Amino acid sequence: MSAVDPMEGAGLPVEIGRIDRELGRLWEEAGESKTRASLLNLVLYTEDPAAVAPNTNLISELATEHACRAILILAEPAASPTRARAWINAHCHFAGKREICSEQISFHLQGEAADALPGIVFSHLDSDLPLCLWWQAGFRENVDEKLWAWVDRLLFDSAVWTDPARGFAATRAIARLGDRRTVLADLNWARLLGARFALAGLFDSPAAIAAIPSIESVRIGCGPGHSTAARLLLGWLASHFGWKLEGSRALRAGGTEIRLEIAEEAAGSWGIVSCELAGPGFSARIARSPAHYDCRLLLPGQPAQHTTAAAGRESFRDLIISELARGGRHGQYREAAAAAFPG
Amino acid sequence: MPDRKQENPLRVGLANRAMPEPCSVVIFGATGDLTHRKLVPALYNLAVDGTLPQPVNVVGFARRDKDDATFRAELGEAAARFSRQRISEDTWAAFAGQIAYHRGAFDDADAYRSLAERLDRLDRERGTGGRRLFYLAVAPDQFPVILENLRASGLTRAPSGGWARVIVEKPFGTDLPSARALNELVEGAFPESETYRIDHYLGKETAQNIMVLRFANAIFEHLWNARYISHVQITASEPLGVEGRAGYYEKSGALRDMVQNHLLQLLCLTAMEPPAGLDADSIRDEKVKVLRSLRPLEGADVARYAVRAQYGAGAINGKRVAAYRDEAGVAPESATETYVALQLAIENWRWAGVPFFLRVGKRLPKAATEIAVHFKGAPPVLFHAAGQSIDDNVLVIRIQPDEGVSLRMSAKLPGAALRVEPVKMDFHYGTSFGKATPEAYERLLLDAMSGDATLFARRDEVEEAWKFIDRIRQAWDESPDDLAIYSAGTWGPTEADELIKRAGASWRRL
Repeated sequence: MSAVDPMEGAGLPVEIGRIDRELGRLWEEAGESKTRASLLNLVLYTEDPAAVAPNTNLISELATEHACRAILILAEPAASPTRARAWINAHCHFAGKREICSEQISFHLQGEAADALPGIVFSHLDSDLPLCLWWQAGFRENVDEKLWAWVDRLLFDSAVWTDPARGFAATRAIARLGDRRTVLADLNWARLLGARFALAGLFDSPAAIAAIPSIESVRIGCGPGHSTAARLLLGWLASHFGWKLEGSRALRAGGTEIRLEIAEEAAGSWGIVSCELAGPGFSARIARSPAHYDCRLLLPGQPAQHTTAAAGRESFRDLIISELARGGRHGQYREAAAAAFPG
Repeated sequence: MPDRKQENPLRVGLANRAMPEPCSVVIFGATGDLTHRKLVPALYNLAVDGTLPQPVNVVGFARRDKDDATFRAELGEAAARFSRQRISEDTWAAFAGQIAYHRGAFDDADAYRSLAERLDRLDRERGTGGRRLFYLAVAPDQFPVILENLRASGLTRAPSGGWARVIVEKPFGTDLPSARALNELVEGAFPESETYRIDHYLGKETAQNIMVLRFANAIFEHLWNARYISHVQITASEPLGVEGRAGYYEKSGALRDMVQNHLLQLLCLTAMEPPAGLDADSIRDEKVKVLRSLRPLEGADVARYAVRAQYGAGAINGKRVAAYRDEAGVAPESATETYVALQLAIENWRWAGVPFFLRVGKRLPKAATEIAVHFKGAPPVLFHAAGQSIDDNVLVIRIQPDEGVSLRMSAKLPGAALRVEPVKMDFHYGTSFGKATPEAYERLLLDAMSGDATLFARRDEVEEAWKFIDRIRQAWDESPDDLAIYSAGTWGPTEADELIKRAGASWRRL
């Protein structure tokens, strides 16, 4: 039985040197019935052959919201023999009466061809458009400055890191390269948006704000394997409340201590299952249900307040669409990550 | 005692804009069309997006007898029908839990007193801190009685640490005296700084993009003057007729309904000087200067530079439609204009000699609102000398539908012969940024809750616009026979074609 080619379904095979010409021919053949649109270069890098098909499907979905030139790269540095192959593809959808298309170029780089990654990326970008790179592999010790310095927005998911401290250090190093300074877009952080909105919503009233100095403990329940997300949430709380995280406690500027607890809960597959900030007569708690966060606020001498807040986006599709739509530099993330994973 | 002005630290950097403080939104006209189609869906969408502060009390004030549960159920149906986002049962249930119905006639002083007590109670129970936004989603003839009762009941005075704001829907009067009277009335109840006059065109993304296009792209601003621009066309066309609004439209007409507010606002954004800052008053100061620079149209100039017309019977999309005078609720001899074309001059250094053409009409072939900036042609040498006709460059800002920007330029047709043809560089919001553009009311409600009046009309803007419009109206009232008739489904009367032709231009083919 022959092995299935991971690049099956990646489109029309083309010689790497003829990619532009073949793309041109693709659009010529389409005539005026299709419009090519592109607002950004979206490069997806993976070292997992099984990820090619889902990534191609994802690009097709993303292209309906963000017209782009997508470049999908499967690199297998350890494979033999050394070989580089390419495919082209188009993803079209109707916007009113118009059919709008985004291009996808796919590469399979095996063996030493994987070292040609920067050249492959540089020579196939849509010029003058931003470069968003979704890095789906682990970060290497020595970052390739030539590549990273060109990236405008680096997407990654710290939830899958086995060594978060090392991962955060590597991404911080990347962000410092180049003149433009790459924006770090951690999907693990993006998943926290619903929890952050839900928690923030509990502190809108002056009475709740006044209770912040009385917080004595923070307990975060997270789904199995989501302790990095929980730690990032703690980092966010600490950076906004002026706390310094030290292991299982946080210190206020005055030296008073706050007890911290992160516990994995089997209650659901969500990143953040619950979060409670408590003090004397005070409790601000969010708890996850499938569709939303249940938010409860108890303040001394006041009736309990109960609201719900949207759970936020969690699928890769929704997270990436939201990230690509977002401008700005994620200053809150930098502060939260620095508080949670200093170094 | 907590500092009530203190900000929620967790809100810092959480969204792209400042999160409003918890507040109460009181809607007068709570059972009306605007509430169902626009306001409640907008508030719900904000709740779904997590940009609505928590808590928010939404209190509907209307005459009909119903309880909270019935009111919520009605709004739930409306939200399901008109919201741009799918209704999630949980999110709706949480949002609806904040909605209350307050029964009362607009002229019943007791209803306002009980409203004040109810709002005080909600402030105490839910921490909304005396912050109140009153939305007058009612016909203008109801404004006086509501404003007077709000004032008499003390609701216009913000409790300590809170604020009291009012949103007024257009039309802001029907002429300058009535606008002044209305403004006096509003000012007697709320200070100008707490008054928000809604023009929903200004909440549209593309209208907001006009300033970005002009002032964030250095290539345009250098060309944005009489030296390079031959003329500007601003069009708002729609295939719809009066659609059950004959009662209102008969009194208003296209000049008051569209030109006084929407079209003059677009004109201001197109023609204004760069503001000193992005704050509300800096921008509105510049818009007012444009209105003051408009050469008044009066006397004989009105006949020369203004065309009014009314649609006759015709066909829209192959379907026969009745003449305006045959619409239900329209007088058989009605002289109300459903179409207006104007040639305006802005008398300042930037725009001296550049005509601005405005046209608006009902029962035109298609729906389109756009600003087209026509640049002067290249010098008549080289390609022109070879006998070719070369189109001028046109920058088009499409406000609705299909929001976007396009630039027409000339390019060589491929082949051995030298032939120059117009081509279009086109940017579509829908293509580039997807479909989930927030509704104008979402942005405007959030702005009003946040105290940002940038996208709302200031009193002097409204009054300057009326001053300009009233002169045209007066001239038309004095010569009622010059109303032209155009067939429904056409692009307006020949008089409008002649108006622009006299200036050496022609209306854009949309």
